[in-house]
Amino acid sequence: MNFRKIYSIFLIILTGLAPVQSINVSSIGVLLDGTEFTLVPNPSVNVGQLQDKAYTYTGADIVVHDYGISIDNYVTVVIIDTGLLDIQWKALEQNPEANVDIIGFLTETSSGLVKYITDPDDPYLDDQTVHFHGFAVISVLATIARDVKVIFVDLDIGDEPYGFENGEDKIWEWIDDNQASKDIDIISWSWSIDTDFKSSTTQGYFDSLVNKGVIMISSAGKNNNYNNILNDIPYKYPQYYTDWYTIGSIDHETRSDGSGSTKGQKSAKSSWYESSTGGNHIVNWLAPGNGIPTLTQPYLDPTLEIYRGYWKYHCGTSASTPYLAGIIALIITGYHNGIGSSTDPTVQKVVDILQYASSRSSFDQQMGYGYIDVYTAYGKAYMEGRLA
Amino acid sequence: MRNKHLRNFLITSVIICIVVFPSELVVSGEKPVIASRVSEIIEVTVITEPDYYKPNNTVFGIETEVEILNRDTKNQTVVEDGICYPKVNINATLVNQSLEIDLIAYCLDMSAMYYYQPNITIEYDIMRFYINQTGLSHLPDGNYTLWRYIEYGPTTVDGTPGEILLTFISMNSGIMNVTYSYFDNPHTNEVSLTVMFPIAFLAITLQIAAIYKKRKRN
Repeated sequence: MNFRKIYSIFLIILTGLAPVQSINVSSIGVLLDGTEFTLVPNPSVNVGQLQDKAYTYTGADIVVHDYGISIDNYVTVVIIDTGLLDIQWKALEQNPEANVDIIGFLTETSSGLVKYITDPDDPYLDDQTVHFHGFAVISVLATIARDVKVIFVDLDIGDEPYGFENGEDKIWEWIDDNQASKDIDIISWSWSIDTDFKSSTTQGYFDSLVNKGVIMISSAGKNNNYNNILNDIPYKYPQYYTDWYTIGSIDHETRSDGSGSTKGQKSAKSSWYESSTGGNHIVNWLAPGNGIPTLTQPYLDPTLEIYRGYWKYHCGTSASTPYLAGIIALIITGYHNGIGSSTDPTVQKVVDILQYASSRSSFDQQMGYGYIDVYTAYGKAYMEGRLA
Repeated sequence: MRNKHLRNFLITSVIICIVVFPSELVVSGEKPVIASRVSEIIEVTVITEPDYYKPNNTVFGIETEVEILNRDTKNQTVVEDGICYPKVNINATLVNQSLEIDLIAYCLDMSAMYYYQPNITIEYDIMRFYINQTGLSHLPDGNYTLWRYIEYGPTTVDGTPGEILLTFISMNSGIMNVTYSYFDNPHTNEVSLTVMFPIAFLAITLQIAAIYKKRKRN
C-alpha cells in the first residue's frame, strides 16, 4: 500500500471520528410579540402604558393608562404561591413600569408557627429555593392593578425549611381572622394539585370568606384537557371547591409561532372542567394568558438606584389568574369610587359585574363566559356603586 | 524505509483513535446530552403532621439528592410546560398487592425555561406519598423505583428526552437496600476535541509534507 493511500484512509477515519455538531435549522418566520420567553420590546410603553396587545385586547389600557385608575387603599389581594426573595419583593414595589405594595409575607415556621413578615430584608426570605413563579404572578397583577396592596402567602416547595404545606387550613384560618383588618378582598391561586384535601373544616373557611366578601380565583391548569389531567390524574385542587372561580386562558392574538394560537379562542395551554350542571367546577372566565408580560431576573438598577426586572412573555393560566385578579381589583375600586366610600361590593355583585362585561352571553365548557372587557367592567362597577 | 515508519505510525494512530474515541462516538451519536439520576436517598420518614392526615393511610416522605448531568460543553436549555413537584417520581411493586402508592404532586400553571451548566448539577427534592394502610412504621416490603424525568431543548414541543437512570429501593422485612445507577459517560466533547485536534493537525501536516516531497522528487 502506498503512502498516499494510507493517508487517505487515515483521514477518512479521522473525519468519521470527528465530533458531530448538530446544526439547528431555524424555521424562517416572523416571531410575533408575545412569543414565550422573549423580551417585551419597549416595556415603558408596552407595559407601563399597557400598549401591548395583551392589554389592549381587554381594554385594560383605557382604564389603567388613559383614565389613570390605580387601586385605592381599601383593596388587598392575597397571592398564594412559591417563595419570594427580598430582591423580588423590592423589584415588585420599585419597578418603574408597574408595581404593587407588598404589605406582608405570610409563612409557617419549621415549628409550625404562623409568621407574618413586613420587612423584605427579613432573613426568613433568604432560604427560598423556588421563587420565580410567585414573582412572575405578582408582576402580572401589578400591570393591571397599579399600587394594589398584596399579601404573599408562602407555600412549602421542595426542600425549603418553612412555608405552608398544601391543603393546610392554617392559611385559610389566618386569612379569615385578618380579612377585615387587612381589607382582604381577593385570593388568587395559580397552580393545581392532584389531591383534593376534602375537608369540612376547609369548606367552612371558604364559606366564611365568601360571606365576608372575599372572591377566590384559581387557574384552570396548563394540561389543555378536561379536568386538567396529567399522567391519568386530575389536578383540580382548589378548583374542586365550589367557592372558587376558575380562570382559563384566551389567545389575544393569532400567532405564527407554531403554538396553535387563534385569536379569541381558548389558548392551547388551558384546561377545563365539568359542565355548569355539575356545579361550579367549571372554567368561569378567561383572561389573556398566551404571551403575557411578566417580570423576571430582578436586579438593582445602578442608574436609577431602584430594584427592577426584565419583562418577558410567559404563557399559562398562572398568568391569566392574576390578570383577572387585577380586573376584580379595578371593579372593587370602581365600586368604591361610585359609592364614595370603602364599602365593598358582595362577591355576588362582583360576579354579576364580571358576567355583564364578559364576552360571551352563554356558557361554554371550555371558555366559560369568555374574557372580561375591562372598560365595561369598570364602568359598570362605578355605576353600581353610584346606585347602591 | 521512511514510508514503512510512517505506515507504522499511522497504524498506531488509528489504533489509538479506535481505543480512545468510542466514548466520543457515544457522546455525539447515542447518549442524550442531558442525563439524570437519583444519587442519594437522604432520608425516608413517616410524616405525622396533621395537615397530611388521611383516614386509613400512612404518609411517607423521601428526601433525595438528584444529579443532572450535562455532557456538553455549553449550557443546555430545559423548558418545562407546567412545572410540577416533586421532580422525582416513584413506582412500586409491593409484596402486599392490596397496597397502593398515591404521590402528592402539584403543578405551577406556567412554563419555565432554565439552564444546566456543563457537568453535574445537584438538586434536592422531597416526595410525599400516601400508602393505603394505617400505622406503618417503615416502607412496606417490595421493590420501589425512583427516577427524575427530564427533557431538554428550547421548547417542549420537540423536547429531547434525557437519559433517565433508575434508582431501586428494595424493602425486605423492614430492611432497606438501595441500588443506584451511575452515569457511564460523564465526559464532555471538550475533552475529546483537545485530543482530536493535534492528531488531525499532525496527519494533515505529514500529508502536505509527503506530497511536497514527492513533487520535489519528480
